[in-house]
Amino acid sequence: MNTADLKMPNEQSLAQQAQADPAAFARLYDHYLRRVYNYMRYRLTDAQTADDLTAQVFHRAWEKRHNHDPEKAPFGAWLFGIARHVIHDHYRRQKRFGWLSLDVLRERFSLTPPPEEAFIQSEMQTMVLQAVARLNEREREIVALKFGGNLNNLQIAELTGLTSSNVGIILYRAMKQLKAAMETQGVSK
Amino acid sequence: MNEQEKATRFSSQIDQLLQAPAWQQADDLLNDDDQALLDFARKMAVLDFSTQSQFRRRIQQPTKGVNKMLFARNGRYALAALGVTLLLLVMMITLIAPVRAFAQEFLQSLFVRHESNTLAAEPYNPISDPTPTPIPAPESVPDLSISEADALASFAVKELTNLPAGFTLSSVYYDQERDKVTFLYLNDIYQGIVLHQEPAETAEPWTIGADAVIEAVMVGGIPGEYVHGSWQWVKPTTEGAVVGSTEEIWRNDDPHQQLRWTQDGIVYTLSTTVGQDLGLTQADLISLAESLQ
Repeated sequence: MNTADLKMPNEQSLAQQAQADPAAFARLYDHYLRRVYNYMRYRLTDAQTADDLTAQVFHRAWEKRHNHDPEKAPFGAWLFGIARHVIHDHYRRQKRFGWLSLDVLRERFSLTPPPEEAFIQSEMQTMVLQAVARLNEREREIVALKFGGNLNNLQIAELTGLTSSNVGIILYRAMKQLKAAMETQGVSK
Repeated sequence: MNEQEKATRFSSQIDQLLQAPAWQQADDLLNDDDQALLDFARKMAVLDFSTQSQFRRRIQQPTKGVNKMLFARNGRYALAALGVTLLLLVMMITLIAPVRAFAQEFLQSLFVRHESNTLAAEPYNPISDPTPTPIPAPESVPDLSISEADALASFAVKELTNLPAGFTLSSVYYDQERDKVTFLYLNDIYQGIVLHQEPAETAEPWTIGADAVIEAVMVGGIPGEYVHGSWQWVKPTTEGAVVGSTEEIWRNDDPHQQLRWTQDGIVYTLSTTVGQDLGLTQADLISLAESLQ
């Protein structure tokens, strides 16, 4: 991931402008879209659902932009808070409609790249998603926020209610699991 | 160095990698295992899944205005909504309610019609400042072999023996809560056939659209029910803006097929994966169902 632009200059003032100026919101959108999408992929694995939920995140952010106080919370942290709500609603919805258990299959199914996209999906990407899908919920969330959302441990701690040191330990152990899983598939050594 | 210290250092290293993937640890304090873990993290730090996004062109091409970016799919969905509306209109005309009600008397309630063709999403939670929210774990559906699933299930698990050309068994899942076994069959272009098996006493009817057509069929001399179509997410518009999915609409024209029947106290559901046309007719699906052993 190209993260050269990870820190957005003047983000706070841009977030304030975005309350009334769609162009300012568009700049925030451009900056965060890739990260929110990658977070969704780590959480969901299914590309189509990740697309849909990513759109929901930004729509909600746009609708609720007046609730965001840039002086209290950075825009990125606020946005990933919304992303977590969207994920939560998605899982709750899956539980509600039992017959949609095919969604679970679709997520599983979607890990196998369709042939027309095979050339753009590296083996590493597919294997990582397969391995991440086997982590427990908390580990998966933290890996997603770290590598998808590019958040630091303090930001992740604020979102998840964990301590920063707990986040670090969980991430460290999860990465060891992922590496071991990848090695059994002959990818990472 | 204890685990907490290692974890703290590792997190800091990842943050460095996410800022600059070419970043290198300046000293040689890392042992081989830690260095290997850092190398693995370096590989993950450069992963970008957005190339797989259907929005990828937009992701890669920054917008000049938020309306264009957020809501670019408006035209396509407006067209789709118009098509669905026309289709529903035709169906309302052609399917006379009393006739359908009469036919319903002979069905087994393996499917249940929703009151309309739209399933509303749960209402938004008003979002102020985000607060930590526990996220429920998704239903666990582990991979199994057929014999492992058979050992776990309270009934004798059956499998399809006359699969269409090119299809093979890909995955087997067992839902402990519902004592339900699911087989996924795929062909080499990743089209899917799904077979569910579950006890009738705990099996639930599948919800379908109000205008869905339930056809009474026979599967090896046993009454069954067949439905063509599926729920699909739609994107409502707000002030000309396409937004996230908040409801689903039933579409009879989706190639998704579902065949359900009950045999020896087990409800079997044979379906194709949503949105994929496998080229199977209703008769083909029934013939496939009859190969169950």
